[in-house]
Amino acid sequence: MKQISIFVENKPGRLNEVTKILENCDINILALTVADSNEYGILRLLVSNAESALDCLKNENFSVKLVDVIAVNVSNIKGSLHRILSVLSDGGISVEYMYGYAEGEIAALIFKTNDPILASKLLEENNFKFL
Amino acid sequence: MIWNEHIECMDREQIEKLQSQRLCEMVERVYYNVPFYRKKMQVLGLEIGDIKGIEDLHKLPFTTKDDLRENYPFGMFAVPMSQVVRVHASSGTTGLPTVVGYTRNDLSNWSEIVARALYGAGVSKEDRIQNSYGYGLFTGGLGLHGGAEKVGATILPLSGGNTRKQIQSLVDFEPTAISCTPSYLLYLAETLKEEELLDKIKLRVAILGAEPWTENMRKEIEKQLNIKAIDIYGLSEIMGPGVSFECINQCGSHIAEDHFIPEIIDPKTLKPLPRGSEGELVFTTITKEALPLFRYRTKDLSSLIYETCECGRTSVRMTKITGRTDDMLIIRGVNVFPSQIESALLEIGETQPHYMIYVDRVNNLDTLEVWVEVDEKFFSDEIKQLEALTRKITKQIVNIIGISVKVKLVEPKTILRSEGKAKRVVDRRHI
Repeated sequence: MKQISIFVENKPGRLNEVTKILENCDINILALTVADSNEYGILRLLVSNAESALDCLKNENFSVKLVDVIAVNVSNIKGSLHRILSVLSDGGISVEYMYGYAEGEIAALIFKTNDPILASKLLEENNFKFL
Repeated sequence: MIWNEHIECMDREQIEKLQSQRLCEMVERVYYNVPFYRKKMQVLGLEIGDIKGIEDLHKLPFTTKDDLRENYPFGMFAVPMSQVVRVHASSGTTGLPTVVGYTRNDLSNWSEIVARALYGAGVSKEDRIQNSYGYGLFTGGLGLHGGAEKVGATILPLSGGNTRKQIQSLVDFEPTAISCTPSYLLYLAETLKEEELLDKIKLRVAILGAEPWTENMRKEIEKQLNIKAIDIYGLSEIMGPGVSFECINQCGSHIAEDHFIPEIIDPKTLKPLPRGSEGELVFTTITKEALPLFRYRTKDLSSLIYETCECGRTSVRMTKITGRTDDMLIIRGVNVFPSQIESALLEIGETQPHYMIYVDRVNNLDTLEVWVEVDEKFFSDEIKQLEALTRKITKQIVNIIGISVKVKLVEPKTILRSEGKAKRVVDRRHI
């Protein structure tokens, strides 16, 4: 799955600017996380149409990038995350970052790994479902 | 106190006669020993005999920092290296340093003019002077050192930095004089105040230079430390500190006219301006052996005062530098050109050269911040990689300019684009 990553300076109104552009381009945000440092952050989004979000943001001079991530659906019960991580770690995959959410019976987890192809294959073999 | 009354109080007619004689000798020496100048003179159709005295000075070609760079490192030296006993260097415009050399006589003349400056500030063999200019390629440390030795003062050669040691020396060794940059002295004053040591020091006078400073800074230093703050001016290309100095009357810096002939020119037309006008300061070195220079353009803006000073010296005085005709910045006494920062960024190659330089003064110390636009080509969505990039840029800039810098990554197209010459520097120091 393609995630869109955006370089955003830490100043008031910048996130607002991104969400406004996406709304104007008719793009829905499915999941998001912000990684922050002292002076800037990286906004990572799963959106309804990553390619068109990329174009819209580029037109507005943002530094943006599409990144391969794996989004997995699991049951919202204890031990789910542990099972996924075990599969990845047994397969020698390292997780660069991850985020997720849970609602009702379903939880979704999004991973950026050092080897997205192998990671997908391993998870598929272990019957995990992708978003 | 006057160190060399014979020269420093010589009447104008006599000093001009001396200058004329030395200028003619210099032109001959340079013509035969420096191919760079010989070519320039030949292009201008100028012969040795055409320069009969200082009235012919304007016929000689100008020299710039770029000329020195093009002849890097020793190409403009007028003597064989066996006669050069020391080399100093300062930053050039694009990373190549400007290299200067001295013969034994040059060093002796340099000590002489610094001795005049120290006497002018009232520093003699009865004094202890803490020399907090950096010792090394920079001319400040060793330049002051030579003059202090000449007057017989007790030198405490602290060199730059290491504030802890500076404070300890001020308190324990009780120097009566200090030489450093004005901003660093203010910083030391703050530290002394915080540690309640102000009444433990014996300072009476400070000899300050290597960076531009204002009358307000002078007042601040004099008030905080209860001392006299005296300006010393110089540039390595001409000699180093001591090219001119203030006496205790603090009304313009006396130029060592027996060694350097000053001119004020219009930086656009390059024509000499009438006496008293403000313009670019130009020096011709008439005694220098290793690196004699015709009409070196300092890029500093000043004007000249010819009246005899209250102190009795007749030497011409230059007013405090009011600005520069180029974009050179002086940060903590170090010359920095925006082009050096640009070349550092280009070498990294990952950034497009859209950058802005912010200079500020925080707690009396100059700070340098470089904002660089994050190009999509190298934008990584991992913080650790962006931080690695920041470190790489920082290291590259520090390697070239030699002073610390803070690098900040900013969004593309957020740095103002200007038409024509790009504005690359915001100096918030108000100096």
